[in-house]
Parts: sequence; structure tokens; C-alpha cells
Amino acid sequence: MNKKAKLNDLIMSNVVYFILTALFVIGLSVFVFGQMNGSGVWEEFYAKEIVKVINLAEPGDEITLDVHRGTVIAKENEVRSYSDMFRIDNADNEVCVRLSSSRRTCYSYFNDVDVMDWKVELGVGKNGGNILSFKVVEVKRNE
Amino acid sequence: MNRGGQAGEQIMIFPFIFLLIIIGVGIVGGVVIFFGAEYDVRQIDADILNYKIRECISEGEVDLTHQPAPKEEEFYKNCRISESAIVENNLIFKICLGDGDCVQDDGIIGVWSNLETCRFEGVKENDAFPKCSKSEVEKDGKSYKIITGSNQFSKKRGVGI
Repeated sequence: MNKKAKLNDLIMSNVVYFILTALFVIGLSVFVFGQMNGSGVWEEFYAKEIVKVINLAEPGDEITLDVHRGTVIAKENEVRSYSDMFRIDNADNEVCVRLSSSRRTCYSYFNDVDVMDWKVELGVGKNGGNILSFKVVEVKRNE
Repeated sequence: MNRGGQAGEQIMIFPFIFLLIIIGVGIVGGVVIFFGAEYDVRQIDADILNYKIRECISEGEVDLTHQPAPKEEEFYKNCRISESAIVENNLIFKICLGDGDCVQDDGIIGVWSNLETCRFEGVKENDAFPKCSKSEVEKDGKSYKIITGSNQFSKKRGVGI
């Protein structure tokens, strides 16, 4: 009995299954990790976390938030302008976050304040990350 | 060479591929459903709104005893709450005076509808209904009940809007 030849036959007859299984596992892993790092998920997260902070803020507060992960995702999705990633609309009391080239996610705050001087500052956060900073002020009324 | 046996082995690749497809569709579907679900902060919205109103009343920022009814404009301005944001984003609140049932009783100020849903245990897992927060505060010997709710969802907009 040629045991070596039988072993080779066994391996060769199953190599297609090995290749298919490997491709399947790699493809699924890429998909799952892509979803975990998906821009949609992080847009929701940042918009709502920023709104939470604004709703609790008082005029005079200066706020900084770590947005490093979001800026990395946005750059991967070819969002070129940092100023376009986070937009705060005082007229509509709305925070919009854009981490992809095709869409932005918006959420509204009910605190009657204005948000001024918002900007993304690069490399100044904890561990050299990027931060979003802004100031909360009294709303300007037309008396 | 056993050609019949070899052909049988080669045909078995199709059920294998079919099995991979079934498993793949199940995993992809589960991941999409999980990560596609909205990050739900409505309960936090309701709690924060309730806290703001409670603090506003307890610190005397607003006079709710004004007759015949508290001045709404003064309430929104002094408590620093945007009336348009409340109305346009499915937020609700109701302030009642006394120890009665604030859901049924007349409120002294607020924006509300269908507050009964805040009491039903069965709707707490249903995302179609608002998430609610309730509290009581005393000021100048008077007891106030505050109910707030949020049914705000995020808005997706195309770029350029």
C-alpha cells in the first residue's frame, strides 16, 4: 500500500474545499469588521453624543470632545474638509455629522443656547488624537 | 481510474457551496440588522429634559403660579428650552400641579399628546412609542409633577443639504 500516495490524494481531493472555506472566512471577516467601523454607526453615535452634551451645557461652557475615530473614518471615506465633518446649526438647533462622502446624519437639541467657534483641532487630544471644540453662549434674540 | 467515484466527489462541491451561502446569508443578515439598528438615546433625551425643567422650577427660574396660566414665553426663555425644537422633534412635556394623575389631569403648561403610552408596560419595548421620564418637585409649598418624553429619531440627509 502506498501510504504517501494516499495521503497526497486525500489532500488534493480536499484542497478545493480548503480554498473555498478560507475565502469564505476572509470575506465574512472583512464584511463584519467593515460594518463595525461603518460610517453610519459612528455618525449616529457622534451626533447624539454631541447633542447630549449641548443639552446639558450652560452658557459660558467650553467643550472639547475626542473625535479621533470619526475623523479617521471620514478621511478613509474621502471627506476632505474637517469643517464639513461636524456642523452645528443654531437656527434649527441641529447637529449634523458627516463621515462619508454621500450622506450626513443630523439630530436636534432642545437647549435654547447658541454654539459658537466649533472646530476640529488636530493632534491635540489625548494620545495625540483629534478633538472637536466649541463654546456655548446665550442665544441671540431679535428683541 | 474510478471515473464514477471521482465524478461523485466533484459533484459534492455544490452542496458545500450551497451550505456556505446559507451560513453566509445568515451571518450577513444578522450583522446588518445589529449594526443597522439606530443608537437609541430617546430615554436619555427624556431624562435630560425632565432634569432641566425640574431644576428650573426648584431654582425659582419660572413662576408657575401665575394666573390664569403661567406665561409660556417666560417659561421657555427662563428655563432655556427651545419651543420649536420640542414641537418639531417629537418631544413632549407636561407639568401638573398637585398630587393627582398628571397623565389624566389638566396640565398647567406643556406640549403633549397620548401621554397614556408613558404608563403602558407593554409599549416599553416598542420603538414606535416615545420613551418617558417622570419626576416630582416641590417649590414654595406646592408639589409639581413633570412628565417628559422623546420620540426623536436621527435624520439622514444627502450631502449638499
